[in-house]
Amino acid sequence: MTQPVGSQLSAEALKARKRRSLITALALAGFVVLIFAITVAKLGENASEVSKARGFEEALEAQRHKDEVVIIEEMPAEASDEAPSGETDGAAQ
Amino acid sequence: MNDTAIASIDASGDAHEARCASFADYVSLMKPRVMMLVVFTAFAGLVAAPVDMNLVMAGSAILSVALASGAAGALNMWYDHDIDAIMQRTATRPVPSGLIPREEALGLGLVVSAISVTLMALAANPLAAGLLAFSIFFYAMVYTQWLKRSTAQNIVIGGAAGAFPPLIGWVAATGEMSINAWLMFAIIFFWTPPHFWALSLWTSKEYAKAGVPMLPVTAGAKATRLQILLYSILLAPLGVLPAVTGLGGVGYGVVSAALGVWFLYGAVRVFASQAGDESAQGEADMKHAKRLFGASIIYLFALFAVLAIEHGLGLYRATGINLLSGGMS
Repeated sequence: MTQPVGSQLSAEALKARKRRSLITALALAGFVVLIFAITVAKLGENASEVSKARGFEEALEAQRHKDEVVIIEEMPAEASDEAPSGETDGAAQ
Repeated sequence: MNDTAIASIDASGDAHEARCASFADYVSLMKPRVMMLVVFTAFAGLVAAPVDMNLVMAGSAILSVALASGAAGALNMWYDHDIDAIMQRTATRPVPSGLIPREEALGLGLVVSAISVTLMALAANPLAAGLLAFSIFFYAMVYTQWLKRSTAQNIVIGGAAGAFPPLIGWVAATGEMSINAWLMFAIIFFWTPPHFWALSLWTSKEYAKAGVPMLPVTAGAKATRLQILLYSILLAPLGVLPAVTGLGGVGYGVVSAALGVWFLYGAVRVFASQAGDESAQGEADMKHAKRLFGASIIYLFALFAVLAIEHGLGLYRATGINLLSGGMS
């Protein structure tokens, strides 16, 4: 049968407790730093995805604009080809 | 934390000479040797996956696997304190030796389990975190609390717990399971019985004393040697299979084939011996079982090391056969 003597710890026991407390504190600090690093890495990944998406949208917008210009440029020629001769004449007058 | 070991007096008033639990005792509570193999296979699974992972995320995922392994070990020691105290091999563990109280082992196991699963969910994905949680549950509850004390097939079914790490590593990187990931799982699953039964051939008396129904205790040494051989016959070709599914390259194919033959040779020698028998010859033949136990560790380590090296260092050279993509390429 043993009885713990809580308040009468030996110097060695106190030293061991202090060491364990220090290691626990360091581990906790390390965990906080790790969570911060994960957050930063995730934000970095998200930012990269957003910029990729933005780049894609800009490229899409540019392509759309280009297509519209081409359509506008082609429209009069197509209109003159397809339009009946009388209308063309009328427009000319 | 436990300070009672040194600061205690017995009924007669004499101070115990027992030392105080150190940080190293808490580390040993987490079974660091098992943890190393677990971490290594998880790392190999992560590196072999066809998706590159951010270094911080990958490191955190591996750390969470290490923590989960340690937590499962602590929960195992919490529950098995009674049988650990009976067996010579485990009597010096921190809980049976009185260095760490049972409730601290339980508390540490539960807290570290929660931390590891949370960390995996943050660093990788919910599927990897779920698998990690399930592997802790499987080892601490299904194997330790149920199978270990109730059936001779304890380490066959319980072996699944140790087979999860490469699968978890793969899922952490890719977010999904694939045939190649399950293949790594299967290799460890079929490796576990010959590994543990080789050990139990020379520790069967201890297991019998503790009432653990390991195969040599319930079925005898001869049946165990036969089972070791049968599982080794299954394991050797299974170990080569990644070379024809695209997971392993030419280097893996050559190394795994050579290791498979070597492992099988060891198993045949154990089968032909009288290792584990009560006779004097049985004691003398025990060296074959011990050699196979050592060989099994080298076998698994080498297989996963080659996988990790091939994929991690860019040395992967396809074998030209890929069963998963429909034949030769």
